[in-house]
Amino acid sequence: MSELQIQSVTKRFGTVPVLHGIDLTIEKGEFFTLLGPSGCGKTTLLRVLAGFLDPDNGSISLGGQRLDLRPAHERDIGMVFQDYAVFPHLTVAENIGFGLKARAMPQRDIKARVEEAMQMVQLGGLGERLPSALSGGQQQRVGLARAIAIRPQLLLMDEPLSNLDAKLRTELRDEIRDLQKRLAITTLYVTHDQEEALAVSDRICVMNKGRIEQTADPFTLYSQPNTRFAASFLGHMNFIPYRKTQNTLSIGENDFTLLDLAKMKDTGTQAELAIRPEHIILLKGGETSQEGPILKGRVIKVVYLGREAHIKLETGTISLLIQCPAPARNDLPEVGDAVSVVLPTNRMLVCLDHGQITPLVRP
Amino acid sequence: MTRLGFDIWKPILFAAWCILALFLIWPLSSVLLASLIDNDSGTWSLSNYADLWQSRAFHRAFINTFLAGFGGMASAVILGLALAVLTSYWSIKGRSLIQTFSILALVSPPFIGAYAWIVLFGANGSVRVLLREWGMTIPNIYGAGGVILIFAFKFYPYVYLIVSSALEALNPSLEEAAESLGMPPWKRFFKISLPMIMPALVGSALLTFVLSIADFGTPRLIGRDFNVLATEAFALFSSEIGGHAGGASALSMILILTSSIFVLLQRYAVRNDLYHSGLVKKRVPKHITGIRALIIHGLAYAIVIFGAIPAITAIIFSFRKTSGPVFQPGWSLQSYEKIFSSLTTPVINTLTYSSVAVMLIVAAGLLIGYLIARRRNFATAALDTVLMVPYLVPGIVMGIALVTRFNVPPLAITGTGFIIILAIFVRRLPYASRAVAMALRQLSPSLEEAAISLGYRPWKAFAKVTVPLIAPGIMAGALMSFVTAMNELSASLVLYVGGTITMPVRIYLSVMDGEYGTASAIASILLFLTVLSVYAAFRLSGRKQSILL
Repeated sequence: MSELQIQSVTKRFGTVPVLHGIDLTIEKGEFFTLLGPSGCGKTTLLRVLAGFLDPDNGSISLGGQRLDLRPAHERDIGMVFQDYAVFPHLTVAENIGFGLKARAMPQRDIKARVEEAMQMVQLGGLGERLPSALSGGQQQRVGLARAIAIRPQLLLMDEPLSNLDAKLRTELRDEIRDLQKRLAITTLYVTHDQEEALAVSDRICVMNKGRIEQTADPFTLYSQPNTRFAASFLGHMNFIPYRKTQNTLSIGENDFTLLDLAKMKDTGTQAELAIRPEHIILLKGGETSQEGPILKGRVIKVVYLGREAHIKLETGTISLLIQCPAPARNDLPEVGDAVSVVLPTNRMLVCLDHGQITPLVRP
Repeated sequence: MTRLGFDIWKPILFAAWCILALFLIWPLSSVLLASLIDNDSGTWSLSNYADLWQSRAFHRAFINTFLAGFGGMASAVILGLALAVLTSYWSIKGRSLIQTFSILALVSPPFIGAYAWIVLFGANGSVRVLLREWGMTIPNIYGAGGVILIFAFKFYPYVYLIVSSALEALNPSLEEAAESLGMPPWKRFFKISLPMIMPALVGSALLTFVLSIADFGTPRLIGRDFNVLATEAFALFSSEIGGHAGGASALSMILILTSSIFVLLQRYAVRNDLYHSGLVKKRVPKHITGIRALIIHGLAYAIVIFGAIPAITAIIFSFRKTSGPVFQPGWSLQSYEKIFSSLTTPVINTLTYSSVAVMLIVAAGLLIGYLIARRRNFATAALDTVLMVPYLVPGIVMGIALVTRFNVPPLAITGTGFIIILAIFVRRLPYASRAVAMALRQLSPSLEEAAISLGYRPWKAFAKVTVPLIAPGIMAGALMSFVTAMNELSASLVLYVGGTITMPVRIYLSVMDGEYGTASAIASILLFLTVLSVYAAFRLSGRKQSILL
């Protein structure tokens, strides 16, 4: 049986619905991430779990017991906040021991537990400092230590890294992941940062407008998105309109026939194909390819980023982003150049009705 | 958390509404109703307003109120703006001394000003007598000019403090940008800086207007036949005592209405004062030398020293030898001896009433402030709006309202100390609850949530996390409330009886009787307690001037 079960939870603020019947199950020890743009309901769901908001409908159980009937302070949930929420009038050690004091633990045990937690988040020796003397990263470490010190059944993290600078974000992200694996603590993590989600999660749930788009492990989610939203939110996706006749699909000026067009069940009414920038192949002068349709276009922008380069291409009314890994100086076209690219058929996705998306060619 | 059991804030919200309804709305309703009932026939009528409409005294008072208001406002703005600009643009020696003097003027008991000017510039005032010996005659202080002069030096610190903090929050890069675009200095000030501080300037100006028209002591003691609405309401109330207070009530309504218009204008002026940027580099005051330095220092110090004259005068005169009401040459402690032998009641009363009122204000202000800031719904928003009312009601009117409502059972508390405490409580509560609400808005709600998720009940999380964090601000606010409570005159004057007399009332009566020695000594004691409290409040708030306003 799953550790955390969320069943048809709905929530509206006034007349505005923010959660439309959310169903989720999370396994014991799993690192589970809610990913979505702001306003998608991910933080609301987290706050419902924490007990700061009441769901309008549905039920939640943790470890086989109803969670939503217990008040917030009896839920035994550790929470890490976006703005750290470190108590500024208490020292680091007092902050970390705050939850243990509520549990009427003997002073000596508290001390040991605080010491242990401080070591885990690499704050050893800073116990007597006040939070104002700490950097943002250190403050969030206090927030993390405080949440794990009570050894909660469930750890909730609400965009814990979004107030930190890029380098620190990566560093602390990896630490959080290691700590979570070491303690095997069931964790629900909220973020709008797709890279962060991919890096830390066992499973990711992409949310949009109060609904779940797709729940999957990072690899599946990136390579086989189920919905147009998930495909475009995680990484970049080129969307290409097409026309369909009896046996052919045509993109731009080129007609091409797909081998198994007859086998395709349903291409829907959206008439859009999708392909990731790193799957588009830039052809060198005179080269040709059988992998898929070839498009000719003009380069309108080249952005060199060191380990890769982004090339923006315009072909007729279609605009494409192409990613070239480890580009050599001579391989990169210049703005205004006419180039050809191939869109490998086996990498393409096709948009279906109701925002669904599926590989164009069944493997 | 509604589904999960009992929410303690609901009964608190209910209690807050009950308190405001009983002690604010109900008394004020008596003023409204009394103004609509004819004194003689006891029937519904607009006769009280009609009488006022035809009364020449009222016409004069109405015109004089605006005269005093605009006069006080204009002169306070000139002094305050000048001082703010001088001290922010040029490096002036003893800047903290200037601040201290202006704060002294701000917190000095209001009527100290009035009578100190009398002993200096009254018919036989020391300065006038001295100048007369030198062959110079200057007009005495009494009348419209005197009232406006006193308002100017009493209220300029509001403009100075508000405008100089606006200037401080102004990014000097803006003026530098204008300079680089070729704008001359004076033009930079008028085209760039002045528009930016305009909301602060207009807001503080309207504040001094509201304070001027609500002031009772100054026109009463200095105005002579310069009657204003506040003094006229008191006179009418005194003549109607024991009977139906229809005339005084109608006048009070007009005073409330006038004051409301300007308070709302003030709110409107400061509604989007959003020029403050978080990343501000400090303006470096320009170093000056020579004759310019002399002029700038002279101007700045003239303003603040002249403004502090009342306080200084009170202290000096409290040590002068007196014979009855007449000052004799030489020094003595006899004025203080007199207070401690026969006039201990007002001192004890003032301290008792102020302390009790402030304790109630802190407790109620904390809870109501929390409701307003953290439990936003229709009932708390309405509560916040109702808490605007005390800002609109001048003290004299609040006094009249309480007396007329609470002189009959079941709540016949007129003549007790409790009604004076109540007057202070009701008038000062909005300041406290708004201060708490503002402090809470700067505190992340996730702090309390963190405590709850760590296992503390909501009320315990509030007590263990939120209260300690806003405590210094609350204490500072409480001390400032204590200062205003100690110095409250107009409402107490209506509410006191022999046994519940307070220090400000005693000073007022002594001045009326010409006993300046006693008045000076009580005023000095009051001033000492005031300065002590303000100093403590400053220390607690980390030297923030905003607590004064």
